[in-house]
Amino acid sequence: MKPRIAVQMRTDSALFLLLLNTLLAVPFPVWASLGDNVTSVQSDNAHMKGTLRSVATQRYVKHEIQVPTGQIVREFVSPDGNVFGVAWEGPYQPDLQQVLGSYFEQMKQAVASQRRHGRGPISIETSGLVFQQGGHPRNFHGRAYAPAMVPHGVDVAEIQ
Amino acid sequence: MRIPRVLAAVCCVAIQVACGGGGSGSSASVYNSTNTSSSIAAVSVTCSPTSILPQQTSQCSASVSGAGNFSSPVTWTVSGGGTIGPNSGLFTAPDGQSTLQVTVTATSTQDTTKSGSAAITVAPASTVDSVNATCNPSNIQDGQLTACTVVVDGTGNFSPNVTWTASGGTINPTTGIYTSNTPGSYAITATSQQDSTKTATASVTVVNGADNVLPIAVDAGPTNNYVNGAFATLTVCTPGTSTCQTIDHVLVDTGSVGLRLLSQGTASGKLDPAAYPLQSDGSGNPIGQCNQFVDGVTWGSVSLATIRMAGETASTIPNATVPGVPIQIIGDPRVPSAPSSCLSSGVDESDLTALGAYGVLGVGSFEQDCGPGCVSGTSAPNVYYSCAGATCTPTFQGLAQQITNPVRGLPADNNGVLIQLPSVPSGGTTTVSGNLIFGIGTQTNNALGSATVFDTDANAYFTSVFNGQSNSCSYIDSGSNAYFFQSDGYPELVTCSGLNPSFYCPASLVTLPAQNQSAGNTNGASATATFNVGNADTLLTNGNSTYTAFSELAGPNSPIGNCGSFDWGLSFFYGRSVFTAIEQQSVTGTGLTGPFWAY
Repeated sequence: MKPRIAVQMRTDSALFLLLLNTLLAVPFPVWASLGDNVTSVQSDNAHMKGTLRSVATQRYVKHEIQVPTGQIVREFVSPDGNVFGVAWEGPYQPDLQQVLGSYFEQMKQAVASQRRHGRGPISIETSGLVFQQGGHPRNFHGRAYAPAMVPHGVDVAEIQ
Repeated sequence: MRIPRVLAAVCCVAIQVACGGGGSGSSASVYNSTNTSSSIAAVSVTCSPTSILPQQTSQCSASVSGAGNFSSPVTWTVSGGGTIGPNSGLFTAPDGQSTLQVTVTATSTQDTTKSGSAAITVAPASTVDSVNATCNPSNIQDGQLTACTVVVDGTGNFSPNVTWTASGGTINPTTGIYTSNTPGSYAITATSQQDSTKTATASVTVVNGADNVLPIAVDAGPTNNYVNGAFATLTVCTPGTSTCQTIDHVLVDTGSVGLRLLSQGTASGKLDPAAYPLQSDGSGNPIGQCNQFVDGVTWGSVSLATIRMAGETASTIPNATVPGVPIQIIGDPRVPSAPSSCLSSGVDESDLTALGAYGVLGVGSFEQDCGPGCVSGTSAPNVYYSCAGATCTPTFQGLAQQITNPVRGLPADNNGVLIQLPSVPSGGTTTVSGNLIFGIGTQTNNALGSATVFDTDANAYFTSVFNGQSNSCSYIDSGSNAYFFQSDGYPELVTCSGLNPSFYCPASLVTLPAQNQSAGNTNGASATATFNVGNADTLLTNGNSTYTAFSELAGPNSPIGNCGSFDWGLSFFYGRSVFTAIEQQSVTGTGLTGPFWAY
């Protein structure tokens, strides 16, 4: 029963945020997430009309957004309250602009500058952003993180 | 009549005794002179016949052996059903439709501890009433296999077995698998093995096989910078007309599903979109599509076209009510520009520069590009869009209206594809030519032969064991231009630092072992796949940067939880015949049904 209650609370707070955004006339959606603070998790969830479940570890909190169309987005928040990594999987790509926030443009520029000579999974490793996406139509998986923001002691392999 | 014959077959001692009353007195006196008393040694029983119909009779007889002047009479009893004359040994079977096993026993009247038994089977009449034969498919091409099956109706414990014969061609007399190398119409006959008067005939028509071989070539493509891209030329037509266009450099992609062609205009394609009717929804609004590849999205219309590939034409698809195969026309100006919900899914690849080809021919494992997930659910995914005026919003789309694997539109050779590419030398080569062959096991040129068959899971993945890791999200994909996998455990596989960061740049050629298995190891199929990885920076400058075909090109891939991924891209196809079977489609005579890969 406990997880169910937790989900309900998260949904309520997401609804509250949605309401707050509307009241303050903030343009919606709010581009957010990777590199942003923890409140962006809520706006991501609201934007993707998801169900949110959060799991706390000693080094970070993992927020898992279940999207109605089948994708799962996981956002990793450091103790200082920042989203340092995101991961996703499912039958469709998630809203990467929402999930990556300001890093979305950086990702697109990095892909464009690569001499890929063709098609296939994407792997970007720059000092500011690591972005990887694999799979094929009907099932994709990927992850992104900002290396400088990954908390000390966290293995990047955990971002998935 | 049977009693004397049975007795004659028994030993002479028993005959002497059994017939003592009316036989030779001298023999009896011999026994009397040496035995003060008589004893029974054994009683044996035979019945004839041993298998009878209900209410029929079987005559049983006993042979009594013993010592001295013993008494031969016996008393007959039966267990398990029916009646037997206690003195005559005549068994009468009961009426009924069930099969019985009865035991007839003869007990010596002199010594009731001595008895013998025999079994009689009572079975209802066994008749073959009718035989019906069908061959599926009933129209085949020369060299193609068809499976003939039979239904035998009968009563009782009849035999369902038949013997197959054919008026021409060859048929396996037991399995009914038929083929012919000569066009014509042939009678296939099934004859009941139990009752040869009961036969059935099916007809099979054999026609000359269509040309199912579409040439493919690996070259630099229309952007002059592609490597490991297998391109084909195909012709698309307005459905029901001879208005056609031939489009070259369409990428052959077993990792996706559906034909996607770049429109003339801003997309820099070759296709004139106006010639192809738009797919529309119930309100008459055109359907747009945001197609998601792993490396980006393409936006355009869903339109209907007839597709000519080699000597075959895809003019309609299963369950469709309108002619034409649904395709995507990327950058079609008849639909609004890409909505933000599409562009936020990834890099936009809706033009020639980004796509590197005039189109993509998706001939993968699925029948449709999206499938059931786009038909119904809580909310429509950002894939199909209804475009009213300037606004496109996600919508559900029926299976027969979704962009469909063109192979499924072919009248024959429509269960999958075979790609054949020759080996390339270490270091690469300029261009190579190969074949995209339609159908699996449908003609002599696409038989599975000794290829290992790997079942795939619902996501079209199988398992590649590499560096001790079981990567269960692995796949074979002609549309990926290299091997893509995680290099963990191989520090020599450094990512290229210069212009090619999506490839590996080991200092020298590395040979690596891997093992491919069916998804979940369901059918136990397993085969090694040893491969080489070269230095991409070096490879891509070989031949003054004119080389486009490399079997040693590899790059990094994304890890994801418990589901590691090894992408066996075009590097893997050189020197192999690689089959991709479509979901729910069977391969005649093999018992195999897609989706699977085989090589």
